[in-house]
Amino acid sequence: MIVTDRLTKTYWTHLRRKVVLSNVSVTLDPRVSYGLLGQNGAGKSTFLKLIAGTEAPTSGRIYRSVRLSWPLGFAGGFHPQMTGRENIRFLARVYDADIAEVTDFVEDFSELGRDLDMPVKTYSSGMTSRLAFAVSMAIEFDFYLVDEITAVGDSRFQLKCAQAFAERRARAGMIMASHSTGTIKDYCTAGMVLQKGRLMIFEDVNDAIEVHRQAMEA
Amino acid sequence: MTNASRPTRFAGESWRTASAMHARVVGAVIMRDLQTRFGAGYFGFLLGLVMPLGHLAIAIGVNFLIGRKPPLGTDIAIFLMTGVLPFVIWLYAHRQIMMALLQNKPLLYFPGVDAFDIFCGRICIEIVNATLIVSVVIITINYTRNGIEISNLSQFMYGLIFSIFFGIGTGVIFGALANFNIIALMFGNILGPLMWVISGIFFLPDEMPDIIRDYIFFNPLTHIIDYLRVAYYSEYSSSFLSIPYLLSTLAALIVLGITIVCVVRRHV
Repeated sequence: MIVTDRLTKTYWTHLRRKVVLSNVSVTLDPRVSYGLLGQNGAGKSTFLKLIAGTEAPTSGRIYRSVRLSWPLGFAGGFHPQMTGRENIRFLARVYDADIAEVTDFVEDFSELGRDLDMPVKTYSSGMTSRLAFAVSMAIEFDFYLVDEITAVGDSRFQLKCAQAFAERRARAGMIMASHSTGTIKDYCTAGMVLQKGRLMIFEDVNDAIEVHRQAMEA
Repeated sequence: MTNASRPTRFAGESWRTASAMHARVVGAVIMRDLQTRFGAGYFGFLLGLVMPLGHLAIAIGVNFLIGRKPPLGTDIAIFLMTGVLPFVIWLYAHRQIMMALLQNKPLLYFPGVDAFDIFCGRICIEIVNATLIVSVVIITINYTRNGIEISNLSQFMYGLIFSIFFGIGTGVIFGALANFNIIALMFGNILGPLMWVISGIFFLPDEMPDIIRDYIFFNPLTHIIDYLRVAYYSEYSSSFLSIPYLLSTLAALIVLGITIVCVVRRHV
């Protein structure tokens, strides 16, 4: 269960206070896949970071009883000077996973081959996201946070990701933030819409898409 | 909601899993640090040991060759050692801990990895490093100077422990402040040469004019070095040394460091 209690996040930009989330109190079921919709800059990524705990809320609390992934999608966390393999080992240690198992899985899944022994700073962005996605699939999380994942690799690799993801989703829930209502519809059963600091939850993803569409047209 | 209502900031379910998580992160940060600080493998750790020792040897060697008469005892090398050793212990701890968060900032992206864990990992490495440096120095003196004669060994060791605490304090403070403004790093780096001059490595604070004495009184490292000399030389007693001032300053620095890290955690 993930519960947010009067969660508020504000930023100061150019001496103006920007409210990203205002008193959001929701309860998320870790077995459900939520699609998170919202306009550009509505705070979707911020919401994911707050849920993950990598960013602190301005006020309010978050209670978590499940193991959460880092927000997947872009690899902000890899250490550029460490090789891919060393980064994998670091994450396996942090999340108490079997280092050999995780390394084997990532070697197989990411198709990075000998590049895995090169520093991550030499990787292309595609290679980095393949590595990030592979590691997050190798370590079992109860709940995945996904931020615009759809752009990983070529179409063949995307298919592989989708399959791996489908397998994980049988046991784990997720929040997927995306602009693409099509992707959200494919992956999620429930929906959330973030608008002007308010978060609305819908049991049926189609309702969320409808509300989001109306907001975009307005 | 049995465990869910616990307000843990991280992905841990309870206090126990959360602390196990922190222990794992600290361990992982230590491994990461050993691998990347000076290049690949454990050779890097050896290099991390050789650098401060070289620093120590050059500093003592140059002054030894100039051939001054020591203010205390008969052996200028020993007199300098009692000043340079705590300085080097402080300097390397200070510098490395100061860089810890900046070098490892990407790791904060992963849920469960905390700024405190990164500092703790680096501090553990620096404590081990300092212990090895001290051991090498004491063994070397023992073999090159017909045995080592420390009049109060436990006090001498406490003095070195104070040095590393001072390094942890200043390192965490400047390292955390650098996340708000990188200028803090510059000030942190200037502290090194400044301390080299004002910490009483080459002189005894009691021999200084009052006006200088009054200024250097505020420098904890001067007290630490004086404390070590009182411990080393049975014939030396100091009217400068204030242990209550030293201990309260060290405690205040550590508390200040922790406070700044708490702020950094929320805002960076």
